Amino acid sequence: MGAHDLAALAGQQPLVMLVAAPRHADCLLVYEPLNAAFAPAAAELARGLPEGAPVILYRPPDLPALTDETPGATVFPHARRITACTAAALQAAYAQGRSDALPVAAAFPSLRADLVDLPQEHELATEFTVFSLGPAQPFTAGPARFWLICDGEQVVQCRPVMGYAARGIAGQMHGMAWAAAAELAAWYDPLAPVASRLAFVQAVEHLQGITPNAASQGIREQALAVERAHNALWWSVRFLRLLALEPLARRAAQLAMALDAVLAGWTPEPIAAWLAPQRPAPVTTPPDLASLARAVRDLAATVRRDRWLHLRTVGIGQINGAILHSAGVTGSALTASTSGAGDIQARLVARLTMAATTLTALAELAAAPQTTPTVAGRQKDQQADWYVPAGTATGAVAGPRGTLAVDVTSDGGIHPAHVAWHAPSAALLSLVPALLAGQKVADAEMILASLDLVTAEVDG
Amino acid sequence: MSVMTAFVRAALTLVGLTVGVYLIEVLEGLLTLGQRNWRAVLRLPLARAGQLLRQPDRPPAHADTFLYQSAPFIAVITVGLAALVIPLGPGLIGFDSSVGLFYFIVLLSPFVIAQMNAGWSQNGVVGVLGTFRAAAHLISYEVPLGFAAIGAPMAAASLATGKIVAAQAHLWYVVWQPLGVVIYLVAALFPAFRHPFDGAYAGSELEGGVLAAYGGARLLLLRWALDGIFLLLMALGVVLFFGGWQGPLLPPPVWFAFKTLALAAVVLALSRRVPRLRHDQMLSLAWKILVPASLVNIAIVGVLALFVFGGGA
Amino acid sequence: MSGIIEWLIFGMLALIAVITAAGMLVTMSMYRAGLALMASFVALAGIFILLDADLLAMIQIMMNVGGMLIMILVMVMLMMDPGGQMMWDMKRSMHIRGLGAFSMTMPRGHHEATTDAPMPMDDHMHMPHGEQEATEEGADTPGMQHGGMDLRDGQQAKGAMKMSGMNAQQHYQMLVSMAMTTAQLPWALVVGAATAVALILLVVVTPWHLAGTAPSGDAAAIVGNLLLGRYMVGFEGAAFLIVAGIAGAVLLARREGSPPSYAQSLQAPTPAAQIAQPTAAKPMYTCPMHSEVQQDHPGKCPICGMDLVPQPPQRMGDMGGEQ
Repeated sequence: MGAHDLAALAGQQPLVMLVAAPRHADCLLVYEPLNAAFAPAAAELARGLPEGAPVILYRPPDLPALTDETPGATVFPHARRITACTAAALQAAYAQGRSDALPVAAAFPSLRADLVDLPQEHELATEFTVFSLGPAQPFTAGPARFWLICDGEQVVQCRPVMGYAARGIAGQMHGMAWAAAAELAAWYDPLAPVASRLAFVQAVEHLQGITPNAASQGIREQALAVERAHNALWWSVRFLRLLALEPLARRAAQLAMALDAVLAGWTPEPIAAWLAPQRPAPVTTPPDLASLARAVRDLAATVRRDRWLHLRTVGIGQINGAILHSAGVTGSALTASTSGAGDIQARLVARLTMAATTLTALAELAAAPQTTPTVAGRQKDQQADWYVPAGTATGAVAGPRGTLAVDVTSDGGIHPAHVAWHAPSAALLSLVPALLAGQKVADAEMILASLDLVTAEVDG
Repeated sequence: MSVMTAFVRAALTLVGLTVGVYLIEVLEGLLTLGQRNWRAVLRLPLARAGQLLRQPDRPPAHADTFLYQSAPFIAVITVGLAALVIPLGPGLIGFDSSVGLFYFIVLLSPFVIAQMNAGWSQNGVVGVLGTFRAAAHLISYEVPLGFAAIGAPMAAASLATGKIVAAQAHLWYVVWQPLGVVIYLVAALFPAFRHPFDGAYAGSELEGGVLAAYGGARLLLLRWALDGIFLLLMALGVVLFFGGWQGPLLPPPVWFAFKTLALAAVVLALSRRVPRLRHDQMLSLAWKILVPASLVNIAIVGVLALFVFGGGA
Repeated sequence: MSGIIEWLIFGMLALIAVITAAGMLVTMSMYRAGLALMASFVALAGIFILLDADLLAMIQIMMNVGGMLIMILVMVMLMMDPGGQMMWDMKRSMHIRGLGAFSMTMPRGHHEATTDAPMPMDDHMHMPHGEQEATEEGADTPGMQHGGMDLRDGQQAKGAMKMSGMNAQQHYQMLVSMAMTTAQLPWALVVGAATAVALILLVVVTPWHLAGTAPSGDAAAIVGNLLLGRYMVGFEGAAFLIVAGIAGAVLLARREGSPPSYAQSLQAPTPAAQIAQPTAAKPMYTCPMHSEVQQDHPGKCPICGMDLVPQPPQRMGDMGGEQ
């Protein structure tokens, strides 16, 4: 969610722009939750700010308390808080003037710097440079660190370090009531709350032996599809911006924001309210997305044809479809390799095409006469049923980055006995070291960005 | 010339450059944010400058302090010196050297060296990578830029910038040296570290690269110098190919400023459509395309200057 | 009036030229040495301008800035410690797990690293506060221009010696190991001084011939006319030779296909290539005795009849041999 919010902030507002180095920043926006691994990194980042630049904390209002969390206030005692992640709120917080206090609590430890064990050097070899990407870098959504051990501009090895986004969600669910656990499940992949929550709800429904009615099923699918398109669009904004293609990135941001605007009034109640076992979805017409779908298709076509983009992206970071398949990768990254060249450009085109087809399908649905306008026997205020019999079941949905699955074990009690997530990004991440070795630094970063890794779902 | 006039000229040059830099920033802002936000665009460069002036700039740990502190000044001084040979109107020139064009192109090297110093001195991985990329720029732009620019003095039979403009009274060189103009404008983006050849700064790619550790007034100076050199390169482009100050009705300096800004706007708008090039692509472009093309251009211009346009002199 | 100003400018430029030349000799930072040499030549170019030899000055700057740049790059690539004492930990900080986006650590004071060469990183990270002021003071002395850097090095080194209680021999060894001084320094000083004296004597005793003519205005035009007129044959001949040299160099440097870089040769077939095309890289088979025998399928060597073995990936040594 943070990644999309930041992309939206920078794409829209004239006075907010992202900078590359902390020395050039006017303020530091910290998205909670912080964990024990990432807090020192955030502190180090704040120490790198120019004097007087404030730290601004934002905590999504519906984020439940997490056990593994390091509260932002202990790290940044003088931080300002904002309640909505908008440019106006940010400017209001910033306008409070210089912050002369030290941004970080004095006792808070720094990020430790230690020596990397380098590969064996040959006699005539050049010396290696260790280039650290992260923990806060724009190439993944969420913090992760990639040690790029470079021979000049060439990456010799890449060693990913994860855990900066770990929140211990699966573990925390064990001690929670089922309803609360379902709420927490939405935070498993904060960029895809519908998919994460639906996967959990489906698993619970399997355990209960219930099949939701067709109308609910249809609307759930629509919500998933919208989320896929939404993620693909925002990802393309971030990716195009990393390629420094400002005009295309702006176009993508406009489309993504148009989608946001359309969806704002889509369902009468928030999705989280009806995404519960046995709770029927509210009757709703699919949003009118015909023009948006056309625009996204045009954007995909532009990207596919753009000769300059070809120059920079074609043939870089190719992955063989069979390897992706055997690694268990699903979603657009796989499509790009099976039906395209499998390089950066193919992934960009595949995601945009996916967004376009999804939106087109939704638009067609809206245009078609409603075959099931109201579901017979639907009770408007039917409550969710949270009794879960003992057993194990798996819920799997098509999330934005591939199949998002969760195994839920119940012992018939009021808590889930065991929850295990299967993240689509984890499979891709396992390929990263081999994929980046031998690439140029600039290419390596683009490849990393093209994979659309969400670190929160890898770390759990 | 007396000492006083020298001082006045230096001050005027700096003021003029600063105004130009502001206009370049505004142009870029308009292209990025769109015309609807013109108020913010006009305000933004000033706000940013004020913000930077209030910040202290402390060198990073174990920096090569002398180089770190001097690099922005070297860059600014180079830009200021280079500005002296740009003629704003007939006789309106800071330093009317007989080798003005050569002088300008030579001064670009110390400018790039200053950027290299800035990256090297900060004792960090990104800075050193930025330094090497800047060095790669230096060895790739010099030849094509010089060869493309040489077309104008070949036709005007002089290296003095004022004479080059005067020689275009009847026909701008852009008309019969279009290849030279294109090569010049592409090569001019290299020493100015403009997108898409901004590998040494590289946005998020190198975390700011050469500029990464700078803050406060020194960062402001470096950015001023970067915009300034771009402005000057565009101004030189106008001098070489677009008839300099010449134009009907309006006074010469106005024509010159208008042409320079228009050229800068076109170049900025076109370059934004290209993604940032990797350093090896940049080198290939320079050595495999621009250098041979500029040699071809010299041959064409030589033949045309000799037989079609009356032997230059 | 203008005569005085000219003398002032000349004196300033000459001073800069001499000081930077001296700075080049005494600095231990290769990067600075290259820059100092560059600055010295640029100051000389200033003197040329003063003599109304604009064209010569420009050529001087252009040639030397480019040349020195290449020299700096080569030195940076080859030297153990291109930053000299000023940045002697740069090499190491390249190996440190830097802080990534935060790699520009704020000044936390100079570490007492001079005492032990393989310094543990933690010393570097948590510094006593008092050190900071001392360093900042030191840092303000412009090292190169006043030749003050050596002085400062000496002071710091002395301080370090006091702290650690090293004897003079150990101290010297430490300085050598940190490339702050070398065993050859005294000899170099003597030879340098002798050369300088000889050159100055030469300048003094040579009977200089003063041309009575005033410098011409547009040197470029005159040089151009001469090059394309009287010296055309020599000029074009030189150009032709240079082109031939470039073409020859390109031809020699050309290799069949792109050679694997060192980085690639580290991981036998690149994993990235494997990922992209798992079956693309077919192993070549070669004879262990006759390396010129190469084929894409196993079999017997036609010369000695031995079994062919898969060819190992190309290494640095092979490339060196070709050159």
